[in-house]
Amino acid sequence: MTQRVSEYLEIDDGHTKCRKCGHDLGASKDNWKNGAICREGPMDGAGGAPYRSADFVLLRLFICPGCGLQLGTETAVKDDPYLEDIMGES
Amino acid sequence: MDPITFSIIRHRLFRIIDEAVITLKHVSGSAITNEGHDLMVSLYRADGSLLMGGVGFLHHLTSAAEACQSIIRRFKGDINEGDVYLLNDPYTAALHTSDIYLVAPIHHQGDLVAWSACFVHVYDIGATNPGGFSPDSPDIFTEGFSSPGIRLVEKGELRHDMLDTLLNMVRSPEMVALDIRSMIACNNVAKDRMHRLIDKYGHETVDEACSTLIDQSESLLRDRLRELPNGSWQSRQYLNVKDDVFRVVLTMTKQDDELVFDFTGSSEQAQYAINCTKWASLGGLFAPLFPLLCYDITWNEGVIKPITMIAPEGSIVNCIRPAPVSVATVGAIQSVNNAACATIGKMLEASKTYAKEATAVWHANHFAVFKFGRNQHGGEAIGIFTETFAGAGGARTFADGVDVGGEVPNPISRMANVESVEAGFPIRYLFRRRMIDSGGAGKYRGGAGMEFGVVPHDSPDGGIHYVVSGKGDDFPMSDGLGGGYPGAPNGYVWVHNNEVDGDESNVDSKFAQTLDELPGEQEAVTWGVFPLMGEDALYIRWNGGGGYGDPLERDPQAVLDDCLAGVVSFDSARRIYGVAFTDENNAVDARDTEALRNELYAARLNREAAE
Amino acid sequence: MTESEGQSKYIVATDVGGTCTDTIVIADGEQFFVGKALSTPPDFANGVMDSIGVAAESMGLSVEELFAQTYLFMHGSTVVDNTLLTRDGSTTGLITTAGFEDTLLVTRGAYGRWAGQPEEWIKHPVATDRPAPLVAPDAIQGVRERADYKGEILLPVDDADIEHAVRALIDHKDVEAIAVCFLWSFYNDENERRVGEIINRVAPDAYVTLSSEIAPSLGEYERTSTAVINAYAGSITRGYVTNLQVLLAEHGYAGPLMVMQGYGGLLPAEEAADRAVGMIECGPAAGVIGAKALGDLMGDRDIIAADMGGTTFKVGVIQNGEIEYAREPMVDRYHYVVPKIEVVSIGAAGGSIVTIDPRTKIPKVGPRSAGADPGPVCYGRGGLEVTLTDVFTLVGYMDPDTFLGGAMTLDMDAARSVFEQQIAEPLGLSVEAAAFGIFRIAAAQITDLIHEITVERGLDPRDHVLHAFGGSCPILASMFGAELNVKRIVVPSTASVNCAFGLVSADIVHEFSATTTLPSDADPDAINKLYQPMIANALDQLKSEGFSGDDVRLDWSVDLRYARQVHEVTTPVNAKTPLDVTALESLIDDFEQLYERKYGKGSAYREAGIEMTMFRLSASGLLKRPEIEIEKPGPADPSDARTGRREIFVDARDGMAEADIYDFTKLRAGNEIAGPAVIHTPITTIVVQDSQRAKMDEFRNIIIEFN
Repeated sequence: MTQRVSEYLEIDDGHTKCRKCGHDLGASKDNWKNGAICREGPMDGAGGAPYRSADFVLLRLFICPGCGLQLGTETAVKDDPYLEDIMGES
Repeated sequence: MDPITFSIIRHRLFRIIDEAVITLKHVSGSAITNEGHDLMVSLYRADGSLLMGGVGFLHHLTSAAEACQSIIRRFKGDINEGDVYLLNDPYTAALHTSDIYLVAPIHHQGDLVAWSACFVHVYDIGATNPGGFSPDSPDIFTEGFSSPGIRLVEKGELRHDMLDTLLNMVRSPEMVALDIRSMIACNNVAKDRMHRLIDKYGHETVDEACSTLIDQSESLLRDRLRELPNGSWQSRQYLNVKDDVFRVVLTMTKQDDELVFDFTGSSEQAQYAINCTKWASLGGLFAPLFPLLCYDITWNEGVIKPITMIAPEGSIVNCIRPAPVSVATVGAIQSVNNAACATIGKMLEASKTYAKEATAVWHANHFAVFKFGRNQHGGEAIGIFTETFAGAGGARTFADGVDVGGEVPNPISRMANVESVEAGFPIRYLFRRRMIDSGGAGKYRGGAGMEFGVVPHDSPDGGIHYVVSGKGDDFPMSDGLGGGYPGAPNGYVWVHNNEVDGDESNVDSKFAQTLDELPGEQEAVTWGVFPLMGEDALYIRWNGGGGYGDPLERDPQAVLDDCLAGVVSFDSARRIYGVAFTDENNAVDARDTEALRNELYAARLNREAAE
Repeated sequence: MTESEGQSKYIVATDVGGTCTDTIVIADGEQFFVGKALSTPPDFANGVMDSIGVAAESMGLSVEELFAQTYLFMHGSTVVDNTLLTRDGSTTGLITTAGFEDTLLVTRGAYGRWAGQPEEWIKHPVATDRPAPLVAPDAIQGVRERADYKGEILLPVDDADIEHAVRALIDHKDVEAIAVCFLWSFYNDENERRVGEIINRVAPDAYVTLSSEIAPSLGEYERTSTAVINAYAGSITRGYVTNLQVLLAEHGYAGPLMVMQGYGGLLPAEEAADRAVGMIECGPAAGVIGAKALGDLMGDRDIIAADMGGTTFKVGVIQNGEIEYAREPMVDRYHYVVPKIEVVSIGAAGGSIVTIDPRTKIPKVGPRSAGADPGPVCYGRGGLEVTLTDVFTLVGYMDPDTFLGGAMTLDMDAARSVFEQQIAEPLGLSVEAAAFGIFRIAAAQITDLIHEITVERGLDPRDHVLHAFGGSCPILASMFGAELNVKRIVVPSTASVNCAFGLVSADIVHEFSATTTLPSDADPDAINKLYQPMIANALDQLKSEGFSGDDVRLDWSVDLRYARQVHEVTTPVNAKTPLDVTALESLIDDFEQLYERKYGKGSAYREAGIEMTMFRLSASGLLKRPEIEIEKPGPADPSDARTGRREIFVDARDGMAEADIYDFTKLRAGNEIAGPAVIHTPITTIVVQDSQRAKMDEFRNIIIEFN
């Protein structure tokens, strides 16, 4: 039995996996973002001119290391921790 | 109980609220109430618990319950038929001073059987700055008239001394008087209709229907929660005022049939009026919860029971008196709305059954600019730019967000026509259109926000002034979902010295079509009072909704359509969506698109570049 | 209008509705004749001819013989509504003020997303979208131009710009129709007119609508939307009206064709052909006009007109003989702004499907409808879901053998078993108890709706007479009429063809308006000056249509408001015109009274001053109408019309009880019936509840009064 996390992620056998390529992002009790590639950069990476913003405003993109799918995004000030989304026992 | 009588009473309770809302709009006649739908009417049970919430600004459903309850405590043993109470102190129950609650007990044969409550954003409340949002107020004492509860109407008789005291403290007292009158009339209608309902079916039957309704809502929501997976989801909303950054951090945990919203980790309360009190935070998290989780469940006390909130005292979401809160509804409360929308969205997306109900965050930053001054007809005018209510929809898991599609916490808002604004204020719009690249990119795009520019026109004083508050222009706040990008941040620009020296080439600046066609110097403004005088122009753009899913998965034809409609730039199409077009930019080049997307995937995987 | 001589004695009126096309034929001193046929979208003219054929046949005439004796033909049609519903209009482009190209698309924000949606969708924002626009987003051209709030042109249009925009639409977007809407064009239409001229030169075949012509009122979103709807449906409407004229002529009709407008007046075909938007919902508007005409006849000035057929329940309100305009009319979720009679509709009618919420066991009526096909279970046409009509049969109101005059028999057993399984069992109730319950829920919902509508207007239902039309309304009217405590209920003899009856009650009416803002203490001559050109136009137009002297009526009305409040009230000018100072003062007084009645005591903020914002002129050409034959009242005893007794649901007794059954066709004026009773007419059933009395009057209307 797998547990859906999102369109792109699921939990299978205690591990969070990419639903596109099956890449293992680590134990499901941990933050899957630690198993993803995090690309952190200026906010205007999100689009055109209206995103131009102060230097301390960062855009984080979490990428599946297996297939390059963009699994999640967040807005952050440098050194703010990753947001954690962790599925519980059902 | 008998399902037939129950069904009839339920329908009638809805209509009672509708009729009370109609009355509120009729008597008030103000633009913010009638266009912005910045109002609320609800019914409460004898103990002040929510019986039936109407469609309005939904933050208020729970805090008006607290308003009823605090009136019950304060006036214990002295609550009489025909009384109406006024309460607007945010530390007692309200959200900010300019949203005045009028709550009224409903008696039947001498017994207190229910309450009705309503609010409107009154024309002015006497705070330092006009209109209600008061960025120059350092504390609650400078945010205008504030009452933890007074008896405004006593056994059917208006206490003129009380009303006159309030009116003595506000700008345009006549307009505030209309607002107050409209709320009294609204409560009267609710009371009258409740009486008729109880007369027809008897108090016991109506009361049984009410408790059945509440039980039913509770069990429906608990059933729904049990269908959703367990887990905890986080969200973080930034607010900035001048150079200070504040955070609202939310961890939402769902276990079995209960939901806990924990704001531990949020910033200490601010010196600025963006704070909110705990009643405001509670309202702030229910405002999106009602339409997102309870779209088919009656909004009442039953929905509130499975929910717990933890908000640390002294934080920006549970501030301590005398912290200023006048900007709360477009400050921390809206951050709470957004954070709750984001975590609820992630929880829904984790369920195959409910994924279609998930949404990225909608219009997350009210720009809430009030303009004030003498108008071309010689009268004093104060008014919000109702564009702030126009909003932008968050992307859904099956479709784009609706461009300029409103907001979740206030489901039936709208903005005024340009002609209506120009008729009443000495300003002229240069343009008002969807903002390019404002909707968060994704497999499904967030709805676009808009941009507009205005200049003074025919003003007897050479122009007017405006109050800017809110959460600043640095952070995008409409978070994306499932890999989608956030919608773009707001922008507020004061353009100085757009001088026209009679040179033909300058004629166009009077009819500038974009911000950059205005020749003056641009200055970002985010907090305070500023002029729109002489050769000034004001430019505002507001945020789009968050996107959903990886933009490289978006249908290339949809990207082209967006480009042709001016909602997405060709540059973003290439860079963010990985879509290549033929030479004339009028068709998708499928082969180049595939190659481009493969390149972009590869670049994402290049770990070194990521460091 | 000159009445024709000799043989030409008939007026024929045909109304095309969503399901049926109804005809009524009247002549002086004769009884009226009716014809009913199915509507035939999209070629509605076939249904029109069928319906006239049925009426003619009942007179023993052929269509040609009838037309040979007809001097006036009046017509209402859903052609425009249908064009929008099926998205069948012309490919349309829009030219608008540069910088504001998105006005139509963004619908004043969420307004276009939630407006016209039922509450269950309003509470569910994630599931709602705007309807697709009638103009493709890339067929909107902004051109540089600008007028201000005073109507001063700040920037004239540039001919080359416009020509370029028009060519772009015609050559690259293949548009067949162009709508034009500029900011403030209703104050100064110079720029829009210039665009119109250029389109006529550059693209003479394109259908053009200028917003300043079709909807000269403040509010660019609604004005643009109106112009777009009109352009979109324009060619189809023009084609429809022209074809109908040809078809009528082929069958020997030589008189004029008059077409109904949503504001309740008729226009000559040539003029109506270019006002597509005016025809929207003209059938229901005619229904209200019919109710007003009947009210005038019976001396009732305050009427709630309720029409319930197979798919919708519609209500219009007549207050002191006046009909109110809709403030924010919509057609299929698109906003428009032209004078239109307010008719509110909800999805509760005979075909409404009854369901039980599986989670809460709460029964619900509508809003889904089984329509005409497959229809209710009892029709035996394959309907598998319980409808309100099935409930009517179960509570004993329908006679299974004489339904629709015996044209159809009802399958009671099927209705019963499906109802038991889908409704009664889940509710844990007997079939009877569940059926009574659903019937009561339907009546209560309608009570709530009418109550809300009257509150919206500041009215009290107790002051009104309820007119009940349509196939299903007279079944329920005695229930909700009693709860609303209306004065009495009237089921008109023309109930089955009410909208067609409304057509023959209408006059030729041209509506004019001028939008400008004046203070209440303005010089009366400034107002008179606004009216002068409108009056001159009106008289010219009416003269060309054959009206002059006593046949012409000019009604002035003015929209007023308190300067700092948003509500506007259209106030009729009752004083003499042109206005003098006294007449203007009395207009202001009337406004203040109307305002306070509608919006409540203490709602006026007089200190801010009063403004006039729109000046309206209704110019009527009064038509001569035949007097329908009346029946002399006879004895009260109705027993000659009694056909038997059977058990029906009686609300006050909380169960079934024996009731007398009557045949409407055998009742005579003066007959009186004590409830509980049922009167079957060839098209509907009238239920008289316990302790109510029904009486047939000299026009063969059934009047129900409460004890």
